[in-house]
Amino acid sequence: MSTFVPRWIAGVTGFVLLLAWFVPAITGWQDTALRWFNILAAVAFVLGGLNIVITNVAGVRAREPGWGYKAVTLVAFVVTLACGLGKLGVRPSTTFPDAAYSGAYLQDGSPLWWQFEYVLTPLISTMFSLLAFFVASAAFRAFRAKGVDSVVLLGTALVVMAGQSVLGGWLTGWLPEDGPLSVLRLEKLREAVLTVPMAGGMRAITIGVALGVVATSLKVLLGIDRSAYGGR
Amino acid sequence: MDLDRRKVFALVALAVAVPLLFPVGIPESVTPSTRSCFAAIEDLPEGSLLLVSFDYAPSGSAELAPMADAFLKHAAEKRHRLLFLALWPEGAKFCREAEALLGEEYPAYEYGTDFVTLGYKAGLESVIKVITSDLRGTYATDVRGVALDDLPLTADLTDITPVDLIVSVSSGTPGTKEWVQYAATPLDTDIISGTVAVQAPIIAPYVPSQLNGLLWGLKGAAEYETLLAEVHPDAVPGTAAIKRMQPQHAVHLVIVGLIVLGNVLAVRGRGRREPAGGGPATDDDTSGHRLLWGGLIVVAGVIAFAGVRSGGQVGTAYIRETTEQVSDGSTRPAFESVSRKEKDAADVRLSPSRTLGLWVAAGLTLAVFSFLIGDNPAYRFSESVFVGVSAAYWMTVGFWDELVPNLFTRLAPRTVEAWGVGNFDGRITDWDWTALVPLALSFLMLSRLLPAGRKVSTWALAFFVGATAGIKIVAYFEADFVRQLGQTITPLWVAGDNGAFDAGGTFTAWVALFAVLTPLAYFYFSAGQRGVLGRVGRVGIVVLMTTFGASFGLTVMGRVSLLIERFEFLFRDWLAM
Repeated sequence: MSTFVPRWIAGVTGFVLLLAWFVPAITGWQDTALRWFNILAAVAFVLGGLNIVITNVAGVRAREPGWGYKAVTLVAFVVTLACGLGKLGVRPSTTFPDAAYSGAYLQDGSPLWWQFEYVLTPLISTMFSLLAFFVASAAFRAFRAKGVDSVVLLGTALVVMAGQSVLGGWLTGWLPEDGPLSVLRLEKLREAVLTVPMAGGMRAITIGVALGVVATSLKVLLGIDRSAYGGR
Repeated sequence: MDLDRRKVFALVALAVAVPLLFPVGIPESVTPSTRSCFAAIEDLPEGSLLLVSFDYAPSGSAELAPMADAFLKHAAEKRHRLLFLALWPEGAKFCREAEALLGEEYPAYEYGTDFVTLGYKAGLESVIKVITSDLRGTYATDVRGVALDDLPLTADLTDITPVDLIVSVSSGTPGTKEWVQYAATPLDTDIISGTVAVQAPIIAPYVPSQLNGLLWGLKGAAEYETLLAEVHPDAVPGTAAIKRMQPQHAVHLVIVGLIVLGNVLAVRGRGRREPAGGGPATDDDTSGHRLLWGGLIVVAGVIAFAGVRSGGQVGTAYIRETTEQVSDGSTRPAFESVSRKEKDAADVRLSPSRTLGLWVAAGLTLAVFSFLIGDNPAYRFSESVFVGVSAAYWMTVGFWDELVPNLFTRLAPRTVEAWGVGNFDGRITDWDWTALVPLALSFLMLSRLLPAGRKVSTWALAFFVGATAGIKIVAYFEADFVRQLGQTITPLWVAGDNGAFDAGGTFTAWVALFAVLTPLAYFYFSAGQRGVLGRVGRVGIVVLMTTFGASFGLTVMGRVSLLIERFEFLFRDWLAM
């Protein structure tokens, strides 16, 4: 597949935005390009939604295993989209009462609000909260002190967890609050670990990532990395 | 010896449930990091302009909603002026909740003068980048459709450079990191952040020179609530985070105990084969089905018990009938949710739709939790609903918050106005031909769905990739490389306040330096990890283990916070316990 046109589009767009950091005269170009970028980001949601429809309709038509769940996804998608795009049950805003669609799409009491509050919110929150159980299970099964590295990992995790819970007070609360020994109080040790070695380690990772991002971005803009457009 | 994972799950559930039902007061000591955050708002002169960004979804609200409330109350106590926006589609909801909080607790705060909601825009970090130089280009109107020119607070605001403090409440990307990279660092603006505990390690390196203060997850929120109550006793106290810390203590004890137990058992059983463990049970696990039915019976029993205890109030929701003023001078009926305590008031009545909603939410919550017993139809159903609803919600938000105001209104302002979907004040009269470019790029992008359009769809993708690369190069180089190196190069001979040698400070400075340099030596791949480089790199691995261990401890706090919030919903909102 030819990558000539996309490479030029990416290069010109990228270098204009790059130069705009340094040349105030072309800041307006940058703002315009980023406004287009934001619009495309919203269109990406449309692309994603349509892709879900196409994929799931194909699955339902072919009666693939679990097609019933695909049908559920489709129904949920279509109902929510109809409520959202049509602003069903949304009254015009109090500021512009004559404009039919001036009300907020998440207006209190509207069908989309209902779905957000009673369907989406519990589903998102509960899905992520499941991890608490698996973290606990993994802590029992996998957190083993088998060598220097794992002992450091384990020890730091224990210090942080003890320091942010009552365990810290129970174990080291008898130590003085001031003076050299106070740093051994677990809540202070936690703070010290988080702000010195942990922050230092993360800073090293941040610096490494920054160099990686800069190098990769330059490769994209110079047309050396074409993988995003199907090239090599 | 093995321990059935379901017993571990049950132990965690009990550790959350018991402190929630039988709370005991455990005070939170305030850390220096929280004090720095607090001082950033407290020390600003009255009436300063704060930009509050709600960059999270409901999955982060267990930790972040208490933080956001505390930040808002603090700002309102100081009479600061506020701008609300969101970089996450779900953040639109939290902007509305912020407005509601000010309306309830600070009725003197006037919309348009004291606070304005800009709302959500698609575009991730590019939204930040644009508004640093051109606010109107992205936010021509506020979230209500009112032109920024017509609001006293924003009438003279052409970009965000006059903002005195950015308050980022964030649980991921885009969030605090992007605010630091694209706004705070280049503009040299003060910024504080409240983040979920899981994200805090990523943000920590920016403190203090690029980030004035950081709240570390739920504990940080509880500390802020404590501090706010001390300094501003007149403010309505926020206690959500303080209450949620109590189950946190219990679950932390359980997990520390499990780690110790696991290691003791491993030492005792050394030489024997490790038990296989891990994921959830599968369908062929018959005990899973028994547990599922057992779980349903237990839930039915709990509902019955709660129903009797609460006098039939399980799963009920009430609303108050009020009125709202319309701009043409008339009034119209409106409704607001009220707690069950107010159910006997004359203007309060049962809401069938919200009552049904509570039962649906509880059913879906339990359906997702059923995955702990094993994969099952209830879980798969809830998963399918989640995919459909969330995709449609994002499309809706992108359509109304970005495409209508920034594409369709620019292309056909009169039509949009006539249809009543945008340009409500008729201020835009002429079409903007430059909007044809993103329209064309949009069609190119959507052509990806057609077999013949895959080739040209890469043109839109190329614009996306190029723009992302173009804004990231300088942002990362400046904020994450140059400034991070600057934070690393600090005096290694530290003097105290009286000028005398400070041994503790000097030791800390050396540790901080080595904590950066040794992992960087490990990341250096241009030479083999041998000799001095190898030994230094070996120390770097130990430093990284410290980093990951601390991250694990914070992850525990973050995930448990979510669990606590779901249990709170089940016990308080649904079961009326």
